[in-house]
Amino acid sequence: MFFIKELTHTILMHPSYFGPRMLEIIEAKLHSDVQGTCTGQYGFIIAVLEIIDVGPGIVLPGNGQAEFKTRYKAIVFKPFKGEVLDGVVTNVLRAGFFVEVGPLRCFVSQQLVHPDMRFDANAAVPSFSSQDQVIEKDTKVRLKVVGTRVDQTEIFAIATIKEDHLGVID
Amino acid sequence: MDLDERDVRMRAGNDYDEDEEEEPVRRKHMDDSDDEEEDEEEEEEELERDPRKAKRRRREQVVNPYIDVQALVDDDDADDDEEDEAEAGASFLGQRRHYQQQDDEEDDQDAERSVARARRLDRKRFEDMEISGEELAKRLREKYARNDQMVEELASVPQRMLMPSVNDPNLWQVKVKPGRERDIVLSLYRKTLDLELKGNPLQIISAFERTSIPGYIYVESRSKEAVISACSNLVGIFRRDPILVPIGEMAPLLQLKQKEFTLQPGAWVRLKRGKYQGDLAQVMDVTDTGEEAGIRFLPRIDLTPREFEGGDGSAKRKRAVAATVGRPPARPFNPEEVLKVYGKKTTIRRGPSWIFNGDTYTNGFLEKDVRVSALVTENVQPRLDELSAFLGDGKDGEKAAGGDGALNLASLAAEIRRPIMVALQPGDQVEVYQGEQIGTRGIVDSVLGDIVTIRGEGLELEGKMTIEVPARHVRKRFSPGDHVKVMAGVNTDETGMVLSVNGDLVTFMSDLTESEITVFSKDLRTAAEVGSSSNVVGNYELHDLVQLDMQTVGVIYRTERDSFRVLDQHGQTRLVQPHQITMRKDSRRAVSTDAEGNELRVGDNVKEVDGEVRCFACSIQPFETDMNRTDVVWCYIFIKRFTPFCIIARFPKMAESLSLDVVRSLLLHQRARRSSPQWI
Repeated sequence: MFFIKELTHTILMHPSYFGPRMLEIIEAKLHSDVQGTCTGQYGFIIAVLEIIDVGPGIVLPGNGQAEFKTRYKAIVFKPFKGEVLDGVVTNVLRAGFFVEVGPLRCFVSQQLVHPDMRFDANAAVPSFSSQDQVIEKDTKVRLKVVGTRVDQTEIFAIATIKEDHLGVID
Repeated sequence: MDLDERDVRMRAGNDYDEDEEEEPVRRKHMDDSDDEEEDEEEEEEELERDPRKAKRRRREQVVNPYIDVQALVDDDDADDDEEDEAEAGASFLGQRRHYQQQDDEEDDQDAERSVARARRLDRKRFEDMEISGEELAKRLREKYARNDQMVEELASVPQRMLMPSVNDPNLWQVKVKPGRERDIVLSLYRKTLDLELKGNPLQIISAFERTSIPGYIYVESRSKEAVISACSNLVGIFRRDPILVPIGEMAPLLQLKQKEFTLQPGAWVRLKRGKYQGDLAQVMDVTDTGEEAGIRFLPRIDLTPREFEGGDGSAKRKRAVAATVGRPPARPFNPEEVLKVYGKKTTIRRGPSWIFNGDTYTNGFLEKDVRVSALVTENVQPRLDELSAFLGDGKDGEKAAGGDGALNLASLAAEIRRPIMVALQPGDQVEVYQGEQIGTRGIVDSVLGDIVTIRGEGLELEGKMTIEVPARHVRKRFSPGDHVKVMAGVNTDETGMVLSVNGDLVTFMSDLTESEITVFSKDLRTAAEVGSSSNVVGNYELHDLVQLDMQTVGVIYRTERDSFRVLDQHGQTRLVQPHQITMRKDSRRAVSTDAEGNELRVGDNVKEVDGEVRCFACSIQPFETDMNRTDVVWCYIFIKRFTPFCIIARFPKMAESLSLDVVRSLLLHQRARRSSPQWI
């Protein structure tokens, strides 16, 4: 699920950047620092919307760097158990297939695929196929998150397509 | 008209007889019969319309006694009447004219027709009988099928709903002559039958005895007097007032003993009696009845017999009495020594086995078929020294018996470590899968020794928040998506997310290896932390290039609990213990040459110029697994010095992720990352 969240980020600024364009640099640094990262608590930080407050730059005694505690608003994406998402298949194995939902990597085990869908070992491209549907690389699927594993820098999810209205979407 | 009337009368007479008996059946059948027949019949009926109509009205009353098919007859008749009336206007005249034209012929044919009708009737009767039989069978089938379902449904009803209450008959304990319990119950049974036939039934409901409680039988009845009168004049029953069994004790009295633990080949047992009392033995096979088991254990052969007993009965018995005191040590059977002591005639070689004194010895073990009752099967905790004797043989045994999986070290190790009781912690989700509370789910509230208190779902209804059950009746419950950690077994410390649960088998996907692992739910625990403790075993780490021996190097591609999976330069994987690794090689700065003699370093982009022409970057390698060619797993590339590779300098973008055969080399290796390939 996507949220707009107010977050803070601490930026250390080398004295060589102190000057008239300092705010721009801080902004750029903030974008490059946080966009695309993942925190366990809030999920993936998709994009910084606006900087609320750069904060007073406090020069650290001893090394001359300035510390800015920046408050900003960002769009975050955090997957939840039971959430239904759309994604693109990236890799198909006998044991199941991997789906990318934006930055989130999901695994759909063959046990969480409808029994009609079988791994097709003979096909040119590894795929799961049933009478009327084929799941191979780059297929778009709708899936439901069964569980998430939140690491320090990554969120990984296990998903199912073994329910109504889930599976290949056209 | 004369003819007509006579004909009608005659027919009516015929019909009357038939119809009285057969009408219901016939009518019923007529509906089913095909149109042709119906037409014929109707044609005939047209003739006799008027007289018959009146008659039929009369007959309906007569027919009434056929209770079973009453409704059917009424309906049919009503239908027929309607049909008749509807048709009357349309076809009456035409039919009539038609009939009169064929008057003479009809007269002749009539007799034939009535015979034919009689035959048809007979045939229909016969068919009807068959059909009703089939229907009966069908009905029975339906009945039983439904019963089956009922039984299935009942099976999941908690047994606590079936517990006796104050409204149920009481149970009375009656003292009888010990050893005669069963006979007395049987004679009570006969007495009950007898008196019931005489119209003076005993007021008792059931009687039974328990072999575990000698000297008593139990009689179920609503009154004490009934029990006393039932027991009077029976030999073997003591004249003493029957004792009322408290309601709480009724159910335990009827409880079956816990089903015997079935022996599995490979299981450990101890012998109960005789010279080998207390000795550890391993089950090799079990008979279908489960009463006898083939076991093997170390023999205790006296190699310094005081006098040679030629195997006659009395001596054997004497030896058996000697029992365990001063018995010879347990030692693998050594044919040479035995031959030396007992002489050549006593031992015969038969294939891989030796026969000595009627016993078979294979691989140094004494193999015997014994009754399971003579074995201790529960709580056998084999000691390491005892196991090592079997273990030492394990390898030979594997060779001999074609790799008996039950004997391998891993299972032995698991056997020793296996906790006797499921380790339950407060807060664990559990379900009861045995015993009276079967089907109950809940959360462990507290654990006190063997008793687990469960705060269950749906238990509030009874006004009771918790129930207590024996720990062995409980198993942990997981649902897909749970993050779990393995606490015991070969996969200890593995963590992952549950994919599916099947009984007490849980399949989860490992966080580290992204492979599916199936374990027993009792070995699992929900866990927040991720991954096995570390990728480091001993001094070696995941993705290290290691020297295995002078000729072989390999890369660790997976760490297990105390071993590595190593891919060597021949493209083969093997399981390696840390002590088997000679040294770690550092090849970060290694340089090789390509097919054109140019320098080749880590991170260079290369293209295969021979064979399948493929592109890849050295830095991050897709690795071919046996499963799937595009399966992107982290791995390494070994590049042989003179393999046909050449550098494509600063190649901007590679086509796509391609699989790569592992090429052989000692010179260069590259650490790859566990991620999908990103091409430069």
